[in-house]
Amino acid sequence: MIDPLSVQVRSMVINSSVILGFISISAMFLIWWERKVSAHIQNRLGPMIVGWHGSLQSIADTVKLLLKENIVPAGADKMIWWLAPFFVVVPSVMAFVTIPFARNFVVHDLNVGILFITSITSVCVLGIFMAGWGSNNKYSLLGGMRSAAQIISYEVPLLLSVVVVIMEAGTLSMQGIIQAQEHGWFILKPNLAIAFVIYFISSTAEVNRVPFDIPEAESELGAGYHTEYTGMKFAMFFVAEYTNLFIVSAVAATLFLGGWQGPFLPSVFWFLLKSYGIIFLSMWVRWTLPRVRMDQMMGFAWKFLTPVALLNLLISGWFMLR
Amino acid sequence: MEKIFRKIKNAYLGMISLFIGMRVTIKNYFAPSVTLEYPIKKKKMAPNFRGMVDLKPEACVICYQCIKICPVAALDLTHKQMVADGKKKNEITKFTYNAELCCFCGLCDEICPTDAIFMNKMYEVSVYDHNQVMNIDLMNENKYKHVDANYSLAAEIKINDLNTVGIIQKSPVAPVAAVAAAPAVSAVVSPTPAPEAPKPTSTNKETA
Ligand code: SF4
Ligand code: SF4
Repeated sequence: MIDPLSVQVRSMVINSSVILGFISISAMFLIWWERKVSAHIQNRLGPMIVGWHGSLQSIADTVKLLLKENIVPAGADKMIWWLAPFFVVVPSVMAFVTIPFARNFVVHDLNVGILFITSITSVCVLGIFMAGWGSNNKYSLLGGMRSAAQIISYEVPLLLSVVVVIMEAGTLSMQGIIQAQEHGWFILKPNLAIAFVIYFISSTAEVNRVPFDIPEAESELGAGYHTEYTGMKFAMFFVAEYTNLFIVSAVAATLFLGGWQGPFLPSVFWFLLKSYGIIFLSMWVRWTLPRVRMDQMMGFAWKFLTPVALLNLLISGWFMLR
Repeated sequence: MEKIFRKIKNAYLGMISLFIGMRVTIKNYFAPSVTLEYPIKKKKMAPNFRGMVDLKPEACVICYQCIKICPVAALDLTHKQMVADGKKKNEITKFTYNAELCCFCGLCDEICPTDAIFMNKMYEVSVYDHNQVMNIDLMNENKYKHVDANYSLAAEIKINDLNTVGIIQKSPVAPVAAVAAAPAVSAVVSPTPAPEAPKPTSTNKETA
């Protein structure tokens, strides 16, 4: 007789290895893709030498980073400095638990799925701040503080726009939200379209991307919180950044674009298509806009985005009561 | 109230400008790239590019003009007199060039009465050792083979002849109007330069 617990453990192990494999491949692909998109937008070619159109460039970079020396800055707060990358990577990996990749593929469909994702990804800011503090470097500290301020501020409009979706779907479960969009994606409704725009803007800020990349502003902070990290530790920040990018895009695809729903093709394909489509949009914006100033960014979050999100919430509530 | 209106207007204008910017970037995304994949594809150098100093040994008349004009004494020439068939004849015993001293001014190229000494189009001239470029024997046919395996004196001479301004051609000179009409073809230069005609030296608009 098979022990049911061992079956559960085995399926968990298989699922999590699939997820971990997907995360690393996706991060590598995204790094390569970002370089390609930026290159083509700037009329360049990007990596061309390693593999077909440089497609193996990320693998070469990973090998290089693995072989690099791990330098601990003198005067760093060793424990915090050492722990920070894990605080950044682990939450972003954990968020994959409730992301519905396909009709029948989600590691665990929690009934509070979206709440789980938004709360677990907020832990990342702790890691970033730890990295900034532990490095004992003024630029890193500034980067970490900016990041904390930014992520906490943009969490508000982000969640307010997610609340609109939850109200519309009547459930927090990710699969439930997708099923609620069976008769039309949420983005097709006007109030949810506004929610999508708000979500997209604040998620761009959440993952520290241009135009809101002030925590790592290369030209003013020398890469901010991960300045002092080398080798694999730096790679962990990098992977976390692109994993977070995938997560926010996947959540956007799930909440607003109907997740894995789509005709003819297998559901996982639709899901990836929508997620990577949103990622492309975000890359496109990144290579279009310059970086905003700190005060502009905070002002935008509190004085514009949050009121609009609240107003949108109000209007959606009125729609529902009508 | 007015403040809110201004804010809304600002947001609207910001959105519009974002879309305009995104249209520009996507246009560039699909535009052809301007990158030249350098080590794989190489660009032809400009006609008056000054590379390494090179020599056509048989053209040199041992006038020592280049030695005199060289501001950094990068060239070293000695000769001896030979008597062959009852005729006196000068022969070069040593003609070396020190690329480490050379400032690539091109004066030797300019002064040489027979265009024997010239500057070729080599630009990838990094070596592992100083000695590899300190004593280059200009009389040697394969003087730069150790720097660039593809070096060929004949090819460099050909490029140089094509690009040299003021060379006297045996063939009938094209009329000035024709030169003006087709500047790209006239790599050969008329001995009497016409004032209006564009300087017909730039032949390589195209990339290699
Ligand atoms: S280019 Fe100038 S410095 Fe170099 S050998 Fe000729 S005259 Fe001398
Ligand atoms: S100027 Fe020309 S001809 Fe005279 S010695 Fe130098 S290379 Fe020979």
